[in-house]
This record gives sequence, structure tokens and C-alpha cells, in this order.
Amino acid sequence: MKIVFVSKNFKENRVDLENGDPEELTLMIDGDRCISCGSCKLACQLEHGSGPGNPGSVMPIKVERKEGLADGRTLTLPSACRHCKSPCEYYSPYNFWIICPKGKTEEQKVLTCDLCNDRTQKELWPACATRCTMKTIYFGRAQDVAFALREKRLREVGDVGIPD
Amino acid sequence: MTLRKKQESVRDYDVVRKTTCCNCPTGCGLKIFIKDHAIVDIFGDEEHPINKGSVCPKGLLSYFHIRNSKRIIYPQIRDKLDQPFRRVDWNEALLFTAKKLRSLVQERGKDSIYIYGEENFPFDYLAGGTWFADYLGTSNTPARFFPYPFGPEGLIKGMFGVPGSQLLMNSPRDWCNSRAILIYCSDLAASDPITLGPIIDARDRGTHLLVIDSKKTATTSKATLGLRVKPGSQKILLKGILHLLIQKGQIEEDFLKEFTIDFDSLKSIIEPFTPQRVARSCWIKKEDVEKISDLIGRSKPIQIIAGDHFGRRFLSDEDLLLCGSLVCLRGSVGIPGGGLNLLNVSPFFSKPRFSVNKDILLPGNESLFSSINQENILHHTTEKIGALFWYGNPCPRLAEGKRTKEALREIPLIIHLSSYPNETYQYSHVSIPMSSWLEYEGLVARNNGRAIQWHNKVADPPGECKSSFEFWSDLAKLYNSSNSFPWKENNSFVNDSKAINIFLKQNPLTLVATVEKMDSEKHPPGGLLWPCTEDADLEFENNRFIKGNIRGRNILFQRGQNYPYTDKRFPTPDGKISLAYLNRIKEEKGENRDINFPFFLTTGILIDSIEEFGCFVSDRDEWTKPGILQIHPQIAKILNIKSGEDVLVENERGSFTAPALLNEDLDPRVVWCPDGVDPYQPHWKGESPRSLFEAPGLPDEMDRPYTMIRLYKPGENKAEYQERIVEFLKQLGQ
Repeated sequence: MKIVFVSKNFKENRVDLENGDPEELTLMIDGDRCISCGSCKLACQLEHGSGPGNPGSVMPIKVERKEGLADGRTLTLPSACRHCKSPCEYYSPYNFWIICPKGKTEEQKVLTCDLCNDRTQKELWPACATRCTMKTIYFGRAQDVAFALREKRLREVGDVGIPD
Repeated sequence: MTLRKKQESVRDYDVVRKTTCCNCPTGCGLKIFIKDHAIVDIFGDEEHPINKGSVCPKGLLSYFHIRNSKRIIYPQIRDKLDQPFRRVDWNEALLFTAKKLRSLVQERGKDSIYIYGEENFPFDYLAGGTWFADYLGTSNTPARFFPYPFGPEGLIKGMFGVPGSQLLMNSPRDWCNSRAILIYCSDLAASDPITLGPIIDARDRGTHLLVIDSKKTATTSKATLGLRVKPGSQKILLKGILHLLIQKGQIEEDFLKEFTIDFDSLKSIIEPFTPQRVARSCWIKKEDVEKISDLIGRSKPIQIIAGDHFGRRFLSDEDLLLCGSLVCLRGSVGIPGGGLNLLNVSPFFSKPRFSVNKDILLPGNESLFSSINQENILHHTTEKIGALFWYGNPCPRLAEGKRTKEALREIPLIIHLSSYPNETYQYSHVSIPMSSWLEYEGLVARNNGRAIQWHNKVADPPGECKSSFEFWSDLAKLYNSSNSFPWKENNSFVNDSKAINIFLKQNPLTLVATVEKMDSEKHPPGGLLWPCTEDADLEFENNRFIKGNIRGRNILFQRGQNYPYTDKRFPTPDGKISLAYLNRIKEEKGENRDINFPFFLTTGILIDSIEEFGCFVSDRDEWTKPGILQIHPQIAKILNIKSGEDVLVENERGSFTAPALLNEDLDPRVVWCPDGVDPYQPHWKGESPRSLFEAPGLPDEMDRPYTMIRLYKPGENKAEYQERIVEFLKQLGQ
């Protein structure tokens, strides 16, 4: 699967969804709409039987203002890093939605995002994307997301893709 | 495989019910999935025009609220506050209350009974409480405690002929037509997140989103231009904008000439507010004043959004009048994309009294109405207060906390309609367990879009929890058995639909609305827009200006249309908007800029803060940073404080300690702490910041949005740090 973040704060276009596997499941998050409300986090907890106060869920993170960000805006993005062992070698402010490639233990595998497999099996979007307050999260096959991404690029946004 | 963004649960369920969320005035539609009478899942209703399937944390937390083990589900009573509560049944609790009430009325008079209210409280509490107040014969009804500027005595009513509590000119369906939207002192991302949705949509289509606030918030971060101003100086910035618009001729003279009066008096008030003066007063650059004014001056139509359910208590007459003047100067009244849109509006409670004559409600005697502040009555009339009814958790929001809570201890009888054992519960003699809005049906009267909606009962309440209507009617019966609540069926259960239909019918603004027409399980979701005074108002608007997605009128004050029940476009004495009311604003006393208290303490709402739950249901967990008192990293460095370490905050009204959270979005002279915390909540436990605020002296004095404080690391040398702080602040020019 692919994860793509789009924002006016990113100046480069790096992601190519049009030439890869058109059926690849892709999650696109619009950083310009995210208000860091935590709805994705609660949705994840509700979906996977956890509750407030319990660890192991999506959390919103604030990307620190860095040089080059337009207007010094603070970017807030949802992160599915479960911090099972925090900080691990993959942790960084940009560690969004990593499918914990180093998840070797059963515990680590259980805690990572699986795109709500039981929902996607029924052709439904993941819980976080379904409930997102600001319709920030877009989910679909690469060819569908590519269409939405083209629209956003027309508004001069860049993107960042997270490799598998 | 076709992947659908469908609001569907994968859990086992029998039935899906639709209802309306009541956790904030946005009024989202929800789909509740139920199995064996228990709620198993919550999603947004994709057909609902307001949220279109989205759910914010406030709505999702309802799922965790209904099964929270800390909920109060049984009545409790005690004779004195220092005694433990003892559990009793519903009848015994109400008998205890009725008996004490009778005795207090005899001793101290009917007006010693106060039924506290806030606009955020459930409709059945406010309506039932107002009815009960009239039944008992006290003039201290819930609406007397509503913010004065939004009430019938607020000056905005004189300007437009409509009180601020009902002044939402253009519905959210129309907001995409604005060329500029100004969000004034509202952090919608925290208070009403889904209300921000159509605003962000408009922004993505090219609308300028402008935000004025004293802190850089999540809302500010989404703006085209967001200005962080000195706390309390936002009015000065508005005056600066008006000054520049007039100077540059960026005003709609035709509109002003035809539909307003006293423009010259506005001009003379605005004259001294040059960009230089405004920039200095507001802690911003002169270029920022010019930039925001230019964006507004080159955009038409513009709209202004203000008065969210949290921030409205800090808005004064002057704030509202300046916002109104700005939309008038840009000719943006009664046109698509325009409007002064004050949020959290309701067609009810612009008059605080109902008189009940069997089944008929008559308008009350308006001359008896005047606004009061809770702190005011506590500080000045304690010897007269016999009993106080309240709901939710208003205690931590009372200013001058130490003094106010001492006064509370003197009151012989406090009845709390409880959900959780919060601070307000701790200061009560009777705790009555309340059903959640998921557990009874009722009217959703307050809204950010001028809609009234219905919420269905989708689950049974636990224990002995009941609705507010049940409480008021049972208490009335026990207080005076010769009378009964008019909407109780055969003196047994309350017929909520019947009760609400009577209130709707008796309100001229909702004359043709009925419960049945609002039910989202029987009719298009979204409810009805008011005023709905004739059958045509029950249809979707479909004309060249707008295709409505909620039945009713989307745009008020349109040219060629009279305001309901009047023969004028604007229901003022001469049919025009008066710009002269700014003359009546008395000069606000400045803040105490004592060198000993160099910082501004401000407060705001958290995204997961809900009146009913407080912080008892929260998504804060061990992964969230532990700090709650936000201070600038430069100040933290001077005070030798790291994130998470305790900071002592104090002024002459008290002190509290809270862990620090470093945030460079703040001005270094400003400190921020969330509202609604109290020492009894499992998350964010601590004294409320509002306890350090000065109480307004008179009803027409607003709650000041800040207070002056000093900060220390506990145990450190105060004098040494004070010197360093003063030196640093001098360098900032203050």
C-alpha cells in the first residue's frame, strides 16, 4: 500500500500514482485540512475495541515548523505509529502511518495499522477515513487517488509519499 | 472491488437509528448501530447536510460516555457539604428537595430560588426550568444568566432589531458564496469542528479565510491570513479595519445610504484608529492591519462568524456592533455570501419567562427581565440565595473561584443535575442523575446554522437516570400536589413530543414547525431552518441564489422581503440599521498592568471538552504530552522550566499549579490554559484558570478574556526570576 501526504507546505511532487499498480490501496491525507482533532485516533480506538486512555491507536502529530514552510504554518497530520517501543529507529516527526516494517514480534504486528482489514474486506473505507472530521483522509485504489491528487496539484500543492 | 466511503459498521447489529448529536451547536446527524438494545457503533449520517458522514471527537466520545463507570446513575442527598452523599431513590431525593424548597420560600421569599442556565444546556432543562420558575413564582429564570450582549437588552438588538441570540443571517449552505470569511475570536477547530467544514471548503475554492484571535490556534493555521492580537485588543483591530475601509472609500455607499442611519457617528468614532495606533495596541505590524483591511475591502460579499458556544461569553456589545458595522460597510447584509453570523443561535429564550395557563404559554412580563451574572449574585446577595439549581459543570467557569466557592458554601440548598462527580457536584446537596441525549428524545434548539432538529432516544438510560423534563415535572408535583406538569400523560410519564410541540407552536418563530416534521427518521435530515412561520418555510429553497439542503429560509434580510411579523426589511423602529449604538459603549477599564503581574492568562476550549462530560470522558492518554499550561519556550528558558514540569500561576485572586507545555504559537507575554478543568476530573486534574479571572461587576460588563498573572517554578527564587522576566518583557517593548 501507499501513503501520500499533500500540502501547500510541500513544494515538491515526488509521488507517482499513475505509473504504478492501479489497484494498489492508497491512503491520501490532506495536511491543509487536518485540524489535529483526533477523530481518526478515536475512530481507530472505537473500531479496534480500545477506549480512551488506552494506547495503541492513531494519533495526530504536529509537524514542527521548519524553514521553507509557507507562512510558517503548523502542519498537523495523523500518525498511525503506535509507539510500541518509542522511539524506535523508524521514529521521526515524519513517521506517519508506517506499517512498522520492522514489526517482528507479534505485539508489534498487532499494534500496527492494517487499514482496517475487516472493513476493506467488505469494500468499506478504514474507520479513520470514514469518520474524519474535515474529510482530510481519502482512500482508494491508486488510480482513483491519482485523480484526486491531480486536482490538488492544480492548486499548487506538493506531496510526500511514504515508501513501503 | 469498489471501495465505498459508507458510514457502515462491520459489527453485528439489529437496527440502525438516526439521531442528532447534542454535544455542540453544530448539530451533526448520527447513525447509531444497536444490537439487543445496546449501542455497538456510531457513525456520521452521510445523508445529513451538515456533517455528511463526518464525526468529530465530541460525537465519538458519546459512545464512551454512555458506558462510563464513573457516571452518576443514582440520586444522592446530603444535608451539609462536608457530609458524604447518601444514595436514595428518585422519589426520596425529590421529596427532600421539595420540602427544603417550601421552607426556604417561606423564610426568604420566592426570589431566593435561582435556576441557573447557560445557552449550552439542553433545551428540556432550560424550558422545563423556565416553566418551573414561573410555576414557583421566582423571577430568576435560566435565561437571566445568558450573556447580556446576546440578549434582548444587548445593543446589537437595537442595531438590527433582532437579538444576538437569534442573529445568524446566512445559513452554512450559503457560506461558500462569500469572497471573504472573517472568523472573529473563535477557535472553531476546538469548539465546533464540523462547523469549520464548509468554511474550509470555501477557502479551497478561493475564498479568503481571515482569523482574528489572541492565540494561534488550529483554526488560525487554516487561514489565508490569521492575526494573533494582544488579548482583549481585537475590537481595536476591527476599528482599524473600519478606519481604512472608510479612508480608502471601500464602502458600499448605496447600501449605507438606503438602509442605514448615523453613518457619520460611526465615522467619528473610528477616525482616531489609524493603522499605526492599531498596530501598537494590538501587538501586530502596521502592514498586517493594512493587509487584512485590503483583503476585506476588495472582497464582496464578506461574512463574519463569531460567538461560538465557548468564546461568546467574552464578546461585548462593542465587539458585536463593530462586526455588524463591518458587514454593513461592505453592503453584505441580505445577500448570498454575506451576513453577520453569530453562532449558537436559538429561536427560544430571547424572553426569559413563560406564564403557564393550563396548556397555554403567554409571553412574560418583560420589565422584570434583566441579565444577572452568577458571580454577581453570589458575591453580593448571598444572604438572600435560598436554593440554586444547576446542570453540568459551571463551577470551574466561575471567575474569582476562591471567593465564589466560599459564597456557594453559604447557600442552604444546591441541586445539581449530574452526569459526573465533577466540581459542581462537589458543591451540591442533591445530585439528580441525568440521562444523556442518546437516552431520551427531545429538541435540539441551539445551532450554528439556524436549524432546529430532533434527537431520538436510541438507548435506555442506566440506573435511575432521567431527562430534565421528568425532573422538573416530578419536582413540581411534589412541591405542590394540586398542580401538575401540563405534558405529563395521566400523571405518569412525560410526553416529550407533546411538550415540544406546544413550545414550538407558542413561539412565533417556529409557528409551523412540529416534532414530526423534524424527525430525521421520517423526513429529510437537517431539521428546519427558522423563522418558519408559514407552510412555504417547510420546503427546500430553490431559486437563483440558493438550492437549500435544509428546509427553510437560508438568507435573512433580503431586499424585497420583510422580516417575519413586520412590514420592514429590518425590524427596527424606522426600518433601517442604526450605526449609532457604538456611541453608547462605555469605556472599558483597562487591565491591571502591574509590573508584579506581567503576563496575560488566557483560556480556551479543548476539542474533546463537552459540557455534559467535562474531562471525565477524554481521549487524553499516556501518549499525549502531559503539559496543559501553554507557555512560550523563551519564557520557559528564563524560568528554567522544561515541558511537563510544574509551573505556579498566581495573582491577587488565587493561584494554581499546572504542568507546562511549551508552545511557540503563543506570544511570549501570553499564557494559555484550557477551561473546564477542575480538581476532581480524572484527566487534566487541576484548579480552573477561570478562578483567577476578575468577575464582571455588572451584567453589561463582559467576562474579560484574560487576567494578569505571574509565573514561577515552585520552590525557586521568585525575585530573581521576576527581574529576568521584567527585563525580557522590556525588550519586547512592553
